[in-house]
Amino acid sequence: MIAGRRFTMRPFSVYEADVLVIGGGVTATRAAVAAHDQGAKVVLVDKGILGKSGGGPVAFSVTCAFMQAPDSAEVLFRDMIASGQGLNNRRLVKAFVEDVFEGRVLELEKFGIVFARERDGQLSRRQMGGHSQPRDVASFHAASMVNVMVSEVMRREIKVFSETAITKLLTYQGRIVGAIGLKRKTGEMIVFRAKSTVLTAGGASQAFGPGSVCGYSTTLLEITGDSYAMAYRVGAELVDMEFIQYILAFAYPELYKGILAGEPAAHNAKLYNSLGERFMERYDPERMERSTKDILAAAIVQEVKAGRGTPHGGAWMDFSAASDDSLHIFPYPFEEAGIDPRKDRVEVMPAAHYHMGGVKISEKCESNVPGLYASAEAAGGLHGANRLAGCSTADSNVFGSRSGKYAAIDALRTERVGIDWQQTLEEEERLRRLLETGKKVSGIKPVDLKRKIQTVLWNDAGPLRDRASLTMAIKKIKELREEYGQLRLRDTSAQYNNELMEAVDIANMLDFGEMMAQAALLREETRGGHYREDFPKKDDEKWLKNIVIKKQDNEMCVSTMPVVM
Amino acid sequence: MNEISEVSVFRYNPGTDESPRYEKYQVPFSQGMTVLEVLKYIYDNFSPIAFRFGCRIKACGSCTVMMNKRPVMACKAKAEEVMTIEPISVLPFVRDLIVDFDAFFDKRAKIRPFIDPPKAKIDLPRQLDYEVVSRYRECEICVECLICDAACPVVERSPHLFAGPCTMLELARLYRDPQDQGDRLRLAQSEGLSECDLCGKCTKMCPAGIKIHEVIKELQQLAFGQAHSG
Repeated sequence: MIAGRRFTMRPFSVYEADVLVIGGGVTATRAAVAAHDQGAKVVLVDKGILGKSGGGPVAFSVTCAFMQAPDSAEVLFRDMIASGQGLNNRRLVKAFVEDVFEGRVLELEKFGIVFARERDGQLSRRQMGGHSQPRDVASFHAASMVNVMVSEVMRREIKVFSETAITKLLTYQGRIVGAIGLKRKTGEMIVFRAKSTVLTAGGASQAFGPGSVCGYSTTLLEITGDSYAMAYRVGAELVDMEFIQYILAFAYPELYKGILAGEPAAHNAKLYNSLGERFMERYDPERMERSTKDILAAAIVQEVKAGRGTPHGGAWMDFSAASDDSLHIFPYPFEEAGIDPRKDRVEVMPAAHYHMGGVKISEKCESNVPGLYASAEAAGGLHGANRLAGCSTADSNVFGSRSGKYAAIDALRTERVGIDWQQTLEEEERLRRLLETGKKVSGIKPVDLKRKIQTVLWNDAGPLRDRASLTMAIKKIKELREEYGQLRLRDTSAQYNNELMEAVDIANMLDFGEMMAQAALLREETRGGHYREDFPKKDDEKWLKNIVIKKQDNEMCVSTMPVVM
Repeated sequence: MNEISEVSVFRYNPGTDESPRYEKYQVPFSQGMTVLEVLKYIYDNFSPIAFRFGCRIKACGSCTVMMNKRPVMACKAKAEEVMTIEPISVLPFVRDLIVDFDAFFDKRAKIRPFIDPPKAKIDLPRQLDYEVVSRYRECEICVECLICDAACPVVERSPHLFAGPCTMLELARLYRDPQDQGDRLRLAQSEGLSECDLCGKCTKMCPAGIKIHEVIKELQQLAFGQAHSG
């Protein structure tokens, strides 16, 4: 049935390539460049503006660019397994370590990035929390890494669709054959036909916490679990979905709630509770504030719970011993927040930063679904239960490149694939129906429903969890799915419709949230980015294994598997 | 004690509206509130205006709008008690406060914003003097918010002659990278380097604090010699 004139979205057009890359950060651009360099025709599709979306503009620090003895592959390997608390997929870690020692991160300098230097011209290297060696380097500017990679995309004249949201992966005879997306500027649906599809749009941090303008998250607005949800719907296996990385972030003022406050280790910073105690003595007396992100976050949450929190539910972070360089390495909103970091203590809280879980992949970034690849934050397994500092952008470089390369190799030896046009029509219909909700007399606004899911995931499945809260979260998510049917968009134009975008995002957040909560409910222990109040100890006997989620017969199936060695 | 901010927002959807209009909203106003928070309040409570933001901390450069005829980053600029919010005019208009960044990338691609690599293989990490790095850093911290272009009287007067301060800054960045072998001065000339009269409005408005007109002045001196007076 063809829609009434007013609500009709534009008829879709078709774009064909060998490799489709979904995302717009460091991973996506590296994947696109690597695929192009294999000789493939590549198309890069980003929900936001390329280089200005997702995690790219805040990805300033990277580890493993340059390592010297006594650092070695073995030492790095050990650090990652220790931080991941034994759950890391060893084959992925091995591939990662090999690639960084071959210079996969450092080659960004060939593309023009200039990492911070000491007075003598040597690279400034920092030792971040959880690392046993100084191997972190930083750019001067938060967006440098993604910017140089966007330049490389331009050098190769790779076709880019900015502000085009992929809403569904397309399947044909069991293979992924591309995707369909909404070009936000025009409201046009575009079918991307491709022999290989790479998911790089990882993360789901915006699904946590009902902030005044967005989630309690260090990331940008676009990070809504899209890759996980879309992969899940086509039968991909996802792993480690229960592990969320929380990082210290501003707790106040409201606008900056969730904005990165930085690793204490990077700023020589100290943490205090409302009684003025350096409470890390209780949680990690040896490393204190140089502890890993998971332990820092859990410590603050426990201090708050014990009634020793600050007015806005966090801890005090004291930057007074920080170097000038470290305070300027990231656009911390001190000035805007009216804070003098030299004098005032900053109120910090854990905020959603990174998601360890994701699509289960091989070293070649293949998922279990033919034609579908995933890398970096969109994939799971490399970091185990907790990611080491700087390893996200290093992961983007290593596995971004790998995913592009292997997706291209596979695409170039694959014949042109078919397409099931019915799926594209159904997806267009789904979006058109969302637009038509404007005809209803009453209903819930997307922004209100979004805050509801953010509230549920933060309160019941966030930094603190137990069986009761997780069971409640799953129940509430089911109710919110019902409520999704009551959505009413006030904006009925297909052209740059933020409400339509939110409605699509919410569906992804719901699927992500349920996967995360189901996995978290099953794992009855505390480990890394998964803190269970009712099981506050690590249980190696029962839980030195990964949880896998897959859709089967329209049901969410949760199972366990041994760690890949 | 909450006051009210009288906000007038430019509204136009070329697909459905006959003509542009300004819609007025009354938003609870507190000292220190940003333009972004005002826009989000309107979006949440009154009307689904089309606007854009990303990071909240001036890192992505996607929320630039005109506030009372001044280009500002919505996430940084403090709201005023009487405000008119309009889209910036240096990129093609899409809807309400949304402009088309595709045009920005088309313009960028023209100046080949990637390293023109030297023939000889370089050893990594690169050997770089601290001075070289500092000079590079000055240009690199740009987030492409386009406030400088929107504030530039030359761009406003003759956009066909001058590509704008943001483009010049990018060319200066490449020029200052010792690895780059491209003829950036010549490119700058063909993008209208000589049109800039160094009025300094770009520098005054730059949220990253870059002394853009001084960077341009240096490019002019390098390209035309000391005699050039703009």
